Amino acid sequence: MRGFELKIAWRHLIKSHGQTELTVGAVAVGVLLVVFLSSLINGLQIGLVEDVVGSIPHISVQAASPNAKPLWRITDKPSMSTLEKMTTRSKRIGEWERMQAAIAAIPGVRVVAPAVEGDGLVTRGAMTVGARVIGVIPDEQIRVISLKNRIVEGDFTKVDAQNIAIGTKMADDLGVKVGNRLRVTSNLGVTESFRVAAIFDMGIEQINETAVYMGLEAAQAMFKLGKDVTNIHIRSAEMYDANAIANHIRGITTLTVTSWMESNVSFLDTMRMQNTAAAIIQGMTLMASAFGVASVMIVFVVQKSKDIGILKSMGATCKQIRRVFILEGLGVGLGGALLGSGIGSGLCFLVTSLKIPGQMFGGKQATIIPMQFDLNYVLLASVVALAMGLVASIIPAHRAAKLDPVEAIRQG
Amino acid sequence: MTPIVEAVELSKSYGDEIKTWALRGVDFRIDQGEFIAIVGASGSGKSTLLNLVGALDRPSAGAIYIDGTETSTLDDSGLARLRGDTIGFVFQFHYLLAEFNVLENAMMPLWIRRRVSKDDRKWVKELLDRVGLGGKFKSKPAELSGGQQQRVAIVRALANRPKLILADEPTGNLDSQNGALVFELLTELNRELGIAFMLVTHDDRLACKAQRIVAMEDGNIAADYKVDQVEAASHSALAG
Ligand SMILES: Nc1ncnc2c1ncn2[C@@H]1O[C@H](COP(=O)(O)OP(=O)(O)O)[C@@H](O)[C@H]1O
Ligand SMILES: [Mg+2]
Repeated sequence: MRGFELKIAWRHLIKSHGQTELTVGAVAVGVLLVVFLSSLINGLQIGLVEDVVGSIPHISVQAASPNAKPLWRITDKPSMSTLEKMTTRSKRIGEWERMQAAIAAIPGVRVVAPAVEGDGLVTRGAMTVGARVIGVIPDEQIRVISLKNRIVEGDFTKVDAQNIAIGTKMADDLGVKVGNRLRVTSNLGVTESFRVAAIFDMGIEQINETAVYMGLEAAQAMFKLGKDVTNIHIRSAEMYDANAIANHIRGITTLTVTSWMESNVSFLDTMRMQNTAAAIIQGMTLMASAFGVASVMIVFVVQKSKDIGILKSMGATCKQIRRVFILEGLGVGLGGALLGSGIGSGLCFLVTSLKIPGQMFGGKQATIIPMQFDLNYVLLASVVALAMGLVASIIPAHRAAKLDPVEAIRQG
Repeated sequence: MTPIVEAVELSKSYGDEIKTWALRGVDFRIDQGEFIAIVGASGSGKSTLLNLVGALDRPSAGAIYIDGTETSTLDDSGLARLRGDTIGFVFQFHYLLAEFNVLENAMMPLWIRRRVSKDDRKWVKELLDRVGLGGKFKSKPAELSGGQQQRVAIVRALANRPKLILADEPTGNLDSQNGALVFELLTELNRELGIAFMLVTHDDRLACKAQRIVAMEDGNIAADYKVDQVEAASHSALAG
């Protein structure tokens, strides 16, 4: 290329009497939509995933009997007899430190923490509620599930043999605050008195209503497990690696291994469907933009047919003429990418900065629409915009290249 | 001396089902430095001949050699390059590109064909000076008069130092006074630069100033003769 094509394309673009603005606008709208919609859906999904995955381990290894249900699936009010049935069959994980070390060695595993889970009751005065007792090492538990923004009151790290953490719902039901005392009875009949050290909000009603966190040793004593535990909780570095890691663990143990992805199949399906729907909308918008650009460019080629004819008479080859219009398409794509991603990003930040006055969420001021802006969307949309410009210019460029100079000039 | 253009049995038809023969087997040659006027009634095939001679179109039958190359041996890019290197076109309308100024328009053939050297720039500027547009380099085509626009088109045709300029009714869109001036300019450039000119005109008085007149009739060359300059002078005296 000798710069001739670039000179012509550039002049056409900057002196087009509105066509450039129109086509750049069409591309920009497509790009804007991609950036905005992606950020919106990503933001919504991060919130949803955070709700679902934030309060449970990515992977859980459990010694529980097959009919023991995870906490968040219990729907009926627990009674002592059903609770007993569920846990009397439960087994235990002995020598769990070896298992812990083996799992920690699996690539992609970030934290491995032991836990004791069992059912029980919480009593305050005359009031009694059902409970899911979870014995943990608090410093490790904090790293397994994201508790940081979920503690409403108190300090979770204080959880030990005398201190427990309960959910907001249970605290409300029993009318307790941090510092109050409660009695916890395991389904094996062991009762202990505890001080409430922290109140949490996991974002899931069931957990807020029934979960009681206490120190690992305290729970081991309440369920008469000695040094054994019932669960091993795992956090993976990448939460979507959970299935692969779960399969890996199944290779080294016969215990029940569950990943969050396996217990939330329908949730993941919904997300996948959302993503597909968004991709279709984005694809159709981009196509509409591309058609718009192509049709404006075809009109432009017709308007410029005399110029094309005269350039050919001066020795411009078909290839050169084609390149002129391809460059124009790319220029429109580039302009649209810059404009669209600029406005799109700006809009994302604007919407993100709209806060609901006074309302807090996860320790931060709640946003009206949770948007998660990602530079990758801008890059993706820009690549797509360039590709669009290219595709949209193929037919117009071909027409220009094939234009018969004699005809073009004869119709003067 | 090899001719710049040599046409053998050159024919051109238009249309598929009903063929119109615009040229019917024309034999024709142009030598270096010639100044040829093509005359003839409208529809007699003048433009068709010019387009074939300029490699802007391909003949339906016969052969044409431009600067020694038979055009049917070239693909479209080859034809384009041949045009860019050896031919300059001037049409009835100036066809200057509206987005570019006078100097840029005149440089266009150079941009298309090669990297522009200092020499090239100087040459184009000198030509613009020569045709009286020295002060108008930065003007846009729309800011010029019809005669000035046509002068820019002439300089543009000369920019690549072609061997042959083809002009299809270059004065057809100008008033007679401006037309005469442009014609005068073309004859002067022919003498100064030694480039061959072949131009179509309806104006017999202008045609008489050429060295050679080719008269077209119904797709054939009806007459092809050298003009006796003395006789031409008397002709124009009589006509004037
Ligand atoms: N593209 C075309 N399609 C059909 N007929 C054409 C075309 N170009 C020229 N002709 C016909 O060819 C003949 C010669 O045309 P042309 O060379 O333009 O004549 P001139 O320039 O002498 O007026 C005319 O009859 C014209 O109608
Ligand atoms: Mg004609």
